[in-house]
Amino acid sequence: MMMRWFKARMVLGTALLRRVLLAPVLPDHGPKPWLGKLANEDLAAVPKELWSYVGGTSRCIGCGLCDSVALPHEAPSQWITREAREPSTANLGLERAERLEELAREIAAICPARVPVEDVARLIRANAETLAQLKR
Amino acid sequence: MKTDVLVIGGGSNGTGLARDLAKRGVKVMLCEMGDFARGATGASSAMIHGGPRYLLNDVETTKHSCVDSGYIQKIAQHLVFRIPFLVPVPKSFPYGRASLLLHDVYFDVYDRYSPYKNGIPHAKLSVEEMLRIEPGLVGDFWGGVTLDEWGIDPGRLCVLNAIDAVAHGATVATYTEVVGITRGSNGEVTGARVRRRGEATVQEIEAKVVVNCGGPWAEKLAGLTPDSAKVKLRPGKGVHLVYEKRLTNFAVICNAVDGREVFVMPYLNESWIGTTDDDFYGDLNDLSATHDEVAYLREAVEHVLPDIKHQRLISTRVGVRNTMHGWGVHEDVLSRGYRIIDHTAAGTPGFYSLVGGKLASYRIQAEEAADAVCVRLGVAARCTTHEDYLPGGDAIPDEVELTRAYPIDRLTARRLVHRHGALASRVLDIGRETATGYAVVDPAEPVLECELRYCIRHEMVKRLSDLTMRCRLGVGADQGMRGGLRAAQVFAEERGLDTTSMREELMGLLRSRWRAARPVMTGQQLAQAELVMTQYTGLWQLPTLNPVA
Amino acid sequence: MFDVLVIGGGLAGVTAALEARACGARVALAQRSWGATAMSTGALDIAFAPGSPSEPTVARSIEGHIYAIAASRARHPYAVVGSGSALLAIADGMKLLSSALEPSGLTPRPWEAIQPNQPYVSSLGALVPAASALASHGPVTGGSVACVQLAGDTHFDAKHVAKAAVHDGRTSWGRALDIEPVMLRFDGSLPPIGLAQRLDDLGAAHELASELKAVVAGVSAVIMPPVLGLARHRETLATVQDAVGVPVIEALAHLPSVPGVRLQRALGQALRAAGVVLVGEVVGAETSGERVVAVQGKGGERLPAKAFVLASGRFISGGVVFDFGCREALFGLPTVTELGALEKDAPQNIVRADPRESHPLMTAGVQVNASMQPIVEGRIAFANLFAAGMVVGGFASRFALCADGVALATGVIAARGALA
Ligand SMILES: Cc1cc2nc3c(=O)[nH]c(=O)nc-3n(C[C@H](O)[C@H](O)[C@H](O)COP(=O)(O)OP(=O)(O)OC[C@H]3O[C@@H](n4cnc5c(N)ncnc54)[C@H](O)[C@@H]3O)c2cc1C
Ligand SMILES: Cc1cc2nc3c(=O)[nH]c(=O)nc-3n(C[C@H](O)[C@H](O)[C@H](O)COP(=O)(O)OP(=O)(O)OC[C@H]3O[C@@H](n4cnc5c(N)ncnc54)[C@H](O)[C@@H]3O)c2cc1C
Ligand code: SF4
Repeated sequence: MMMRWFKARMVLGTALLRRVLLAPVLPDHGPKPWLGKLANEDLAAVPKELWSYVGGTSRCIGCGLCDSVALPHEAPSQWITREAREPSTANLGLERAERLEELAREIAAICPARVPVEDVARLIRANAETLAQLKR
Repeated sequence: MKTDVLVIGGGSNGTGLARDLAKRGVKVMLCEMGDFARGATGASSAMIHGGPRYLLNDVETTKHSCVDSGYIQKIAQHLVFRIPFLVPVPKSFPYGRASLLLHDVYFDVYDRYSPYKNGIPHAKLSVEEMLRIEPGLVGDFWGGVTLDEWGIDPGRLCVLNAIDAVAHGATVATYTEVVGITRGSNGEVTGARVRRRGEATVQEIEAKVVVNCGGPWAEKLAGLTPDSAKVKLRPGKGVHLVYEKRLTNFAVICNAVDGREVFVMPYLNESWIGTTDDDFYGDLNDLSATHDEVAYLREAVEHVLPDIKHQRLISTRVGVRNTMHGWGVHEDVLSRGYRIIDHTAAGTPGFYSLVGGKLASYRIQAEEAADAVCVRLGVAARCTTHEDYLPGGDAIPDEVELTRAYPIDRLTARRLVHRHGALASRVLDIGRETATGYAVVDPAEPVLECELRYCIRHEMVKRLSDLTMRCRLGVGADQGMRGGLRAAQVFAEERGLDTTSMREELMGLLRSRWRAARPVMTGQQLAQAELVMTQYTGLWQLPTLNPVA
Repeated sequence: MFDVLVIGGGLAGVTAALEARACGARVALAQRSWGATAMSTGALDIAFAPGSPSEPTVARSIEGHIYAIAASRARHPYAVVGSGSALLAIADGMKLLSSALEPSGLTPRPWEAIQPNQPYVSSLGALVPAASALASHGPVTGGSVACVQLAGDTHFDAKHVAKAAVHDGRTSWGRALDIEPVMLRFDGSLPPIGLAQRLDDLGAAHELASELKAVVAGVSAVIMPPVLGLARHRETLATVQDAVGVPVIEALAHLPSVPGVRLQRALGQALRAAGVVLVGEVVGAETSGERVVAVQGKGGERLPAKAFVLASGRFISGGVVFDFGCREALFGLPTVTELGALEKDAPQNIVRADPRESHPLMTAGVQVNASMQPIVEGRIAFANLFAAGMVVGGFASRFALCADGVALATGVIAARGALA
C-alpha cells in the first residue's frame, strides 16, 4: 500500500519536474484538439444568454391545455419537453420552434404554468446555432 | 431448482458476474430482490471513469480503470456517451497561479492512460476559452483544465448483462430475495433459500457456489452464515439532484462548503448535481434525500454557476455506496477498492463475497470473481466479456435511415439507438402490430408504445415501474403523469392483467416517482405534484389512505 | 373605478364576478391565464360525505353531506362559513352557473334534481360519486351500456373503463351494470383535444354517429371518451345523440381535459355576456392601512376598485407558491393548511410518501373568516379584500373535498362581502 502511494507521488513529482524544467522545449498542443473533438459529438458550447432565460422554459406541468390553440394533429404541449431539453438535439426541433413562435401569444393567454413559449423557441434556435457553429 | 452458481444481487457486479459465468458455460442463477440496478448501481453518477483521483495514491488502479473503461466503451458502444469535464481553477486555491500548472501537470499524467479509454489529451483553457463554452460560470479563475469521462445508462447496462446471461443459459429471477444460505455437513455451501416478492413460501435452490454481490447489502448478506469472513463496509449515502434540462454539455467541478468536490453534469436530457457522501446506517430499503442534502448540493454549485438557482429541480436519486471499510484514508479515496472474499477459511467453502468496487470496473471485478469461482468448480474456460458485445452493442444503426423506414422522427430514433443499439429496428418492428404502435406514450423522452412492448416482452419486466430502468418511463418532469396510464394499459394488455392489477401497477409507478420527487417538491414541481395527485385520486377513486386529517 | 375587481378567472372568480354583476355592480376581472378549472374532469363536486369511498351513503341528502364535511373537517371552507350558509351559497352559485353555461350547452341538471353520490364513469374506469356534472356526463343508471373505443385513441381504453365500471366492487350503488367495450373504426389517431376539434366538424360527427349506430344496437346508453366536440360541443353532442337514439354519456376526463377546456371557455363567454370588464394579469397591489386601494396590471396600469376578490387558485395557477416557505403570491398573505399553520418546512415533512395520502401541504391557502376575508394573525388583513376558491386553505383539490362546491360557495359569499 505504502509502495503504491510512493510510486504514485513519484510519477506526479517527475511529471511536474519535467514540465518545469523542459517547458520551453516540450510541444504544447494547446486546447485546439480537445475543443475540436466536441464537434464530432454535437457537444456545442452553451449559448451566451442561455442562463438568463432557460429557467422559465422548464415550467411546463404537462396539463395539455395548449393543445387547444393548435391544429388537431399538433401537440405543442409535447414539443415543449422535446428538443428543447437537450442542446445536442436542438437542430432537430427547428421546425417546431417556428410553429411554437407562431402560437406563443395564444399559449401565453392560457398556460397556467406561464411557460414563456417564445423562450422555448429561442432556446432551441440558440442551441441549434451553437451546434451549427461547432460543425463549421 | 438446481444450479452450479447462485449470484445474489442484480446490480452491475451481480449481472456482470452472471454473464461472465454463463458465457464460460457455467450453470448460473441470479436472484435480485427488487429490479435490476435498484441499489448502488442505479443511484450512481453513471460514470465509466478512469479514476483520475486514484493517481494520487495508486497509478496502477488508474491504468486498470482506463483499460476497463475502454472495454465497456466497446462492448456497449450505444449506451455510452462522453462527458467532457471542466475543472475551473479559482484564484482562491492555495498555490496561486501555480494551481493551474499543478492541475495541468496532474492531467498530463492522466493523459498517459487516456488512450486506453479512447480519450485524447486534456486541454488547459484560459478564462476566456472556458467562458466561451460555458458562459454561466461566475468567479475569479486562473483558468481551467478539461478532462474526459464517459457516462453510461446503468440500468440498461445491468439489464443487457442479464439478458445476455440468459441467452447463454443462465436463470435470472428478479423480485426474489435470498433469505438464507444452506450448508452441508462440512459447512460447505449447498444452496440458498429464496422468497419471491409477495409470496410467503420459501424455496430452496441447490448450488455449489454462492456469490454475494449485494453492494451495500453485502455486509448483511455475508451474515447469512455465521461462519463467514468479516465483510465490513463504510456505507456512504449519496444523493443526486435532477434538473429538468440538459443545461450544458459540460460537467463542472465545484467545491462545497466542506471542501469536497461536487459536480454538475449533463445526463442525456437532464442535468445532475452530485453527490453527497455521509455515513449511513439506516434502512437501505427506505432511502430519501433530506432537506440538508438538497441545500448542500445546491449551494455548492450555486457558487460557480449561480443561475442554476432558477432551474427546475424535478427529482432526486439516492443510493448508498458499497465502499469497503478502511480502504485508504480520505472518504472519496476509499471508494475504489474491491475484494473478492473467499469464505472458505472462515468455515463456509463455496461462499464468496464481491465487495466494494465501482460501476466503471464492474467487468473486471466480475471477471476476477468468475475466475475464483471457476477455479473452485474446475472450469477452465476463459473470460470473454471484454470482447463480446452486449446485446445491441455490435453496431450503431443510422438514425436517418430509421426515420425513413418507420414513422418516427429523428429525436425518437436517436433515443432508440442510444438505448437499443443494433436492436432498434427489432423494437420498431413491433410498432406494426397495433394501430397505435408508434404513438408517443411518454413525451418527455420520448418513449413509444412499441418500445414499451419490446421491453415488456424481452427485457425481464415484472412490474410497470421496472420500465423506468428500461426506457426511462416517467422520469421526465411530470413524473409519470402523462405516460404512466397508457403504459399501464399496454402492460396490462401484454401480460393479460385485469383492471385492478393494472391500477396497482400504475400506482406503483406513480408512487416510486413521487418518492424520488418528494424532497424537491417546491415551486413548479409542487404544482406538478398537485396535478398528479388530483388527477389520479379524483378520477380513480383510489382509496385515500387517511381521509380525515 | 370598479365596485369589485376580481383576480382570477377560474370557477371561483367567475362565480364571484357574475354574482356581483347580478347585484348590479361594476365589475372587472383580471385573468392571467387558465388554471385548475380548465383541467377539471367535468364533474362538479359539491357534496360527498367524508369517510370510506367504498361505502357511499346513498341515502343521505345534499344537506346531510355538507353537514358531515363541515363537522369532520374544522378548516374546510364549508365549516368556516357554516354548513347552512354553505348550502345556500352553493345553491345560488349553481343557479348562476347554470344560466351562465346555457349558451354553450354545458348546463348541469337543475339544482332541485341534484342528488349526492351519483355514479359517473371516469376515463380511468371508476365510478366516481358526484352530485352534479356538466351536461354531457350523465350518471350511469344501470342496464346494458356500450363503452366506445375510437381506434387510435390512446387516451381512453374502453376495455378497462368498461370492466372497472362494472367491477367497481361497490354493490351499494344498487344497480346492475353490463358494459361492453365496442371498437369503432373512426380514424382518429389524435390527442383528445385534437379529436374533439375534428369532431367540431359536423360532417365528421355525422360519420361517427352513423358508425356508432351500427355497432350499439339494443343498448340503453352509450359511454364515449370525452371528445365530442370542443367549440361546437353542443351541436356535436346533439348530432351523435340524435343518431343513436339513446343517451350518449361522456366519461369524466383525465388530462388533457376536453370538458375542462369547454368549461373554461364557456365561463369566459359568460363574463363577456354579463358585461364584466376583462383585464389581464395583475402583478402588484397598492394598499393603504387596512384597505386595498388598487392593483397593478402587468403593463403598469393602476386598477383601483372599492373591493377586491382574490380567486387566484393554488399551486397549479400560481395563486399560492411554496419554496420551503409558503405564501399567497400577490399580497404575500401567510397560509394555513388542514392541520393549521404551516411552518417553514421541507417538503418531505408536509408531503406524504404516497400520493394517495392526504398531504398537509396540498391544503395550503389563505386563512379566512366566515365572510371570506383573509385573516393574518387573528386579524382581518384588509377590510375590502375577500378570497374565493382554491386560494383559500384548508382543503385540497382532491377527490371528496368538493373543490367546485367550494369555488361556487366562496365565490358567492366573497362577492356579497365585497358589495356589503
Ligand atoms: C451516489 C453514488 C455515486 C456513484 N458514482 C459512481 C460512478 O460515477 N462511477 C462508478 O464507477 N461508480 C460509482 N458508484 C459506485 C457504484 O455505483 C457501485 O460500486 C456499483 O454500482 C456497485 O454495484 P453492485 O452490483 O455491487 O451493488 P448494487 O448495485 O447495490 O447491487 C446490489 C444488489 O443486491 C440486491 N440484494 C441485496 N440483498 C439481496 C438479497 N438478500 N437477495 C437478493 N438480492 C439482494 C440489491 O437489491 C441490489 O440490487 C457510485 C455509488 C453511489 C452510491
Ligand atoms: C386535474 C384536476 C381535476 C379536477 N377535477 C375536479 C372535478 O372533477 N370536480 C371538482 O369539483 N373539482 C375538480 N377540480 C378542482 C377544481 O377544478 C378547482 O378546485 C376549481 O375549479 C378551482 O377554481 P379556482 O377558480 O379557485 O382556481 P383556478 O381555476 O385555478 O383559477 C385561478 C385563476 O387565477 C388566475 N390568476 C392567478 N394569479 C393571477 C394574477 N396575479 N393575476 C391575474 N390572474 C391570476 C389564474 O390565471 C386562473 O385563471 C380539479 C382540479 C384539477 C387540477
Ligand atoms: S399549457 Fe403550459 S403547462 Fe400546460 S402543457 Fe402547455 S406549456 Fe405545459
